Amino acid sequence: MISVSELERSYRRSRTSLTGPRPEVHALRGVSFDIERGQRFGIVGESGSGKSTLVRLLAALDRPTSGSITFQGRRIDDLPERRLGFLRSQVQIVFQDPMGSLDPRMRVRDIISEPLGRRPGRRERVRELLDAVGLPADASERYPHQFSGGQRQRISLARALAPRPSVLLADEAVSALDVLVRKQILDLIAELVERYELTLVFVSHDLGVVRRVCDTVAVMRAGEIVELGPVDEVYDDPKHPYTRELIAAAPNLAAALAGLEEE
Amino acid sequence: MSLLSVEGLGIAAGSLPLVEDVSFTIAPGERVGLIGASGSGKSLTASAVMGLLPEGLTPAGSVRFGERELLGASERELSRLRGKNIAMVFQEPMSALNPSMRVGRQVAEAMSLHGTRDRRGAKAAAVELLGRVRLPEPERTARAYPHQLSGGQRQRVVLAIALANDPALLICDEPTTALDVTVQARVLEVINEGVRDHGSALLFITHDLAVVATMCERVLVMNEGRIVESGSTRDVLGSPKHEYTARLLEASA
Amino acid sequence: MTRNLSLLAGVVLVGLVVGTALVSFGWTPHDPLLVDASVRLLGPSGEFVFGTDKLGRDVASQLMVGARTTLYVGVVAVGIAAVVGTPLGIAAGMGARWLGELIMRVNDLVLAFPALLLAIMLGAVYGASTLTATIAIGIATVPSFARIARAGTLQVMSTEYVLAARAGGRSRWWIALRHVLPNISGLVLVQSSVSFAIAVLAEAALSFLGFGTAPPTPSWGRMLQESQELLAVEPRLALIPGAAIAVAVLGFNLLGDGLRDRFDPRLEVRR
Repeated sequence: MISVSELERSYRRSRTSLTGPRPEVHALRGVSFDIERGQRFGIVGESGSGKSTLVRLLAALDRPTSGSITFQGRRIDDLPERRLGFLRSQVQIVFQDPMGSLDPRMRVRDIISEPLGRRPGRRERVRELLDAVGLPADASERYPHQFSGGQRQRISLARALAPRPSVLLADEAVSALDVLVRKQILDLIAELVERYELTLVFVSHDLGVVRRVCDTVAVMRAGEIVELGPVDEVYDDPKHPYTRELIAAAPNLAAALAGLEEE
Repeated sequence: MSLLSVEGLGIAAGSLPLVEDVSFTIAPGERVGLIGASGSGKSLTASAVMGLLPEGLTPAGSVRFGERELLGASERELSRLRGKNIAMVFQEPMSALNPSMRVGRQVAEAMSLHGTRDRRGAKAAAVELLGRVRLPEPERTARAYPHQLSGGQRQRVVLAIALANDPALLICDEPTTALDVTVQARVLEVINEGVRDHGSALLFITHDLAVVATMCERVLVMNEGRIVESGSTRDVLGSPKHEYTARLLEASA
Repeated sequence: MTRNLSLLAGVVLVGLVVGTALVSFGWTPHDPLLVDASVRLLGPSGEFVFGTDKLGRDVASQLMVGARTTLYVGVVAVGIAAVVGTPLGIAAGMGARWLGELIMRVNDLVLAFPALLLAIMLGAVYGASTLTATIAIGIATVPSFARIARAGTLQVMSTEYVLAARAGGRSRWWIALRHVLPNISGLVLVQSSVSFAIAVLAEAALSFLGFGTAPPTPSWGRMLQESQELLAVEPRLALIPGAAIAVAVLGFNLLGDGLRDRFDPRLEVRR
């Protein structure tokens, strides 16, 4: 479905001094992997690991410095915007910030139907989508600020599903949510992926969350994939020291409670 | 004798109650966790204790620190307590620091401001404190500006400022939520050591049950402005009585 | 509550100025241009509500007719600046890097060029008039709009909803019209009210220097100018047009703030 090869992306930072070159930041340094149709592919890493850059490249919202991305056998990394039409309906994103990812001045119906353009039957589609993400039909006339964080993520999901994509990219889609709401949205994502037979790329800093929804995981650090494999294998038997550190550092309720019992 | 005793605390925005009938006590040196979802009123409760409620919100009830009643106390009286007897660490370390002042001076100022140390003593003590929160090369770090440090390092500086005057009570409001997991683990460790070395009591606010379980001996669960359950961390998280706590646990497992 | 109050106050003050200007087309207490040496420098009375000036003209009538000039200058100058400056700023914020740089450098050039010099040049070529002064003020105000629009645009372009729109295959035009423009409209509105105030003051200053509204057309700025030599003896002649300018400026500022809040859906819940 998606094939990434030797992907690199570097940015020039703004000048820190008048003389001398502008410092270069390597966000991605040679990343390669394949995602099969129907796979639930997790990408785990901390801030600065390059995972968000990777998501943007996969959605063709940014261009790599070198390397290639193919989508269903077609190179997409070097296509001009006007020839990316086929990808724009196939790949959709849900972002982290439940407020910042919805235009505060648009009504929910306009937000959800935005990727649909002037297609006929938009109204019905919006109603259908609201139902699919568990929002009432009268939500369509309201503005984003009238909803809670979890509901806003549902609106984002509805927008992403509108053009009937085959791939859903979730960039820290549940990280800003409270535990209870997080679980509901995770369950919803899992359900939607199942129902619409989506390929899921799920990016998170939280290995525990990735484990709940993904079958495969890539662990990233400083622009590189340090470990890649089936999620349970990586979780239960991490090979790379960084993966081990990540797992050990994650607060673990069961372990903490066990510790309390012993005292 | 409790250090902090909150009784029947209510906070309202006009006629809209945000926090209702919240009562708890913290003994000297005790570590208490306050957990709940966003909007449950846990941060407001902490702000009320610090006397830092946003304008338009009115507290009712009683917040006693030792013998002193804090609700209704004058701003002058409160500012003398703040940073000296009660210190606070917020979620966002960048906005808690002055971007145009070297961090060493900010730590030193916390001490000279409250007269705990003279100017020169404060400078040396600041470097020592920065080392105690395990910042690398404390002498060099003291000369750095906040933007030159990482998020975890900044939060340690904030912690150093908070601990500078050996406060009797340290309030931490989601101090590690903005940090990476590997960094979070280290900052939690430093907070733990800090309150132990300085003999401070801790009120730790978080939405993360695992974090509270590693940090606190007693826990209060808040939902919709009320404390729905409280007790030792082991009892509350091991065998929750309230349905809400049980749901939180289930979602966190 | 306070928001509605400021909108209401703005509407009342601006309404006062607009109403006065409208009424002046049909009726003024006296002929504002009638020079009568027998009634020079009279204080306020039943016949001359605000008294008369050094040529015996009725101050109240001049003030009413002057309101037209003020509104004309403010609306036209801000109109020119907003209509030219806002799209330039959006283009600078959304377009290629070189385009943005180019627009902003030209912007800086215009900004560095004094409005006064522009007014003098336009006046020299076309003859000094209210129109030349207004156009000069309008051109000189373009950079403020371009700058604020660019800053707002850059901020909107960095949001995730714009990324989502791009991922949904939306064109630049759509993003500019549906996302950027509505979200920077508040900034532009506030800039308009500030610029209106500056334009009115600038016209007064230009008229004062003789590069704006030519005599005998009444203008608040010219009234101020003519009061200058008598400031010590008859401060009334400066205070009255001064107060009128203050009322118009304050009114438009309040109106701008009020409108911005009124049309921001995010503020609806707090009502």
